[in-house]
Amino acid sequence: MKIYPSFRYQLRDQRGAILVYYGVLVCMILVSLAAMPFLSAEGGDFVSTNGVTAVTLVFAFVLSLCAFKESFLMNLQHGVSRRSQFLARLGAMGAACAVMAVADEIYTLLVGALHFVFPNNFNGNSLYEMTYCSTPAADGFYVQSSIATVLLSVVFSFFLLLAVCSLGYLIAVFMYRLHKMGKIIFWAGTPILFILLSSYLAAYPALQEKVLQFIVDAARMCCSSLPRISITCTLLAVLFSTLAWLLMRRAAVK
Amino acid sequence: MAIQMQNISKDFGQVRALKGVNAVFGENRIYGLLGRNGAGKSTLLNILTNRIFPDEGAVLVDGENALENDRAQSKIFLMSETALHPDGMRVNGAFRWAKAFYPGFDREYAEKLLADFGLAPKSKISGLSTGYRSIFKLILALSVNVPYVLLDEPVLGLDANHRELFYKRLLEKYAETPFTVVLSTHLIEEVANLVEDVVIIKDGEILRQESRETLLAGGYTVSGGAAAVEAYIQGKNVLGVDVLGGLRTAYVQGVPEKDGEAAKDLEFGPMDLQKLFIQLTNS
Repeated sequence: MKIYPSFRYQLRDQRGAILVYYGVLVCMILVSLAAMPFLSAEGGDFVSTNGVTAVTLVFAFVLSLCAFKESFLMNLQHGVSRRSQFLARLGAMGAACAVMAVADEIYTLLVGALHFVFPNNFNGNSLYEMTYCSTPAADGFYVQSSIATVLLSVVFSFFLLLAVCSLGYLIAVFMYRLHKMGKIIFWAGTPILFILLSSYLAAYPALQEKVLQFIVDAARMCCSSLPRISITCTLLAVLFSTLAWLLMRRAAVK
Repeated sequence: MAIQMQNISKDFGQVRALKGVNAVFGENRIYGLLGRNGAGKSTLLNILTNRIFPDEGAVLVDGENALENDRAQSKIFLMSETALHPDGMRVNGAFRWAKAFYPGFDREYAEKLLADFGLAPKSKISGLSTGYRSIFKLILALSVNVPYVLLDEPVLGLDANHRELFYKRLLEKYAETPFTVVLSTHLIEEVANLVEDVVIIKDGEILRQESRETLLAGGYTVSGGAAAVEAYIQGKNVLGVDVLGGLRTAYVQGVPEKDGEAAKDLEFGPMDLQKLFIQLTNS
């Protein structure tokens, strides 16, 4: 079995991009610190990095979109079966998500620590805190950063990242399998479909209200607490990964 | 111990690329996989290495089904025309990963070959010329130390000096530790003395699979003055005739008749693989 070398390769493939991403985030803090002498101490100038995981989700999605083709071909060149590649991908994805979730929290804590030094200039809360710790303290910041909150933030980020990465990978495999005409139809057809659907709903306000209500109810049911969103994200990750496997198992070199 | 292809068929839309191919690449032999453009050579090699799937049939590597089988695939290395390494990867990076995937990869030997061919280890693969890209892939193929090495157009873009060096290194490696080599090439004259067995594929079907000696023993060349050669080949199965001024060289199938009156002043020689190939694959 070549799962381990494939896992190492796929993890290594993403390492550079992840390092650059967090390097940019750290540089942003450094630039902010360098600008401190020019900022107003009374709080007029503010550096806010709330919910960095939201940005990381976008980054992770793009990273996953780029994670398939090169890795797939490289693995095939070295005689790795698609099954082993897929299992290695699950491992690499899980590891990358865990690293990014922890890094996000470290970043948030770092900015939070700066808040104590420069209370009027820095503010940093995790996405979890902003979503689920509903009561801000007197100074406007959420009461948090207990060890439990930090751990829960990591768990929250991890599951969100897992679902997003699975979706990105599914789209990447799907695009690889599609022929040129299929890609054109997909990328042109999807927005057209949304426009038609929204136009249709706009024409029937009662139906629109029902659909919106359904979406709100579903979102509330799936995301109203950490356990719920963790289960939802896990189920989505399983669904996306299963679909990705079904597409990948017959993928050929083009 | 062999790669066995059992009744392999493959269609690309309306095109039937392979039609029930049955062939064997035995242990520790050098094969020449010969065929015209579009005959199905690359398709066959890609199927052996799981890069594409056959519509029918099976591939066995040392008795194991090779389909999506890591253990079977770890015994095969295909150097294909298409580069499957990432564009940004460097030569030494590719070697590092080759070692990770193929523990038998001989890094020291690969670096020696790099020096022999004059390829810088820090070169980006995507920045290499066609010839040096072939060299990079050849070095990988010669260094992975697997039982079956498949080379698809191995000398594409290589100059004569590098081609000769490659054939030399291949034979040295083969003499040192024998392994199975499959050379899929159009440069038949160059590999004619290298290959031990010949597999000729035409329109997706195996036309011939036999040892080079057996294949060539079925014919001979006869050279001499134009009139003498023309007289000799009357009524014989002639594959082709080369003309050089007043001299003729005819390629004839069958057993030479050296004792007859017509054979006087003629020279007989062994059959030429390329001439035989051309005759067999001309439709």
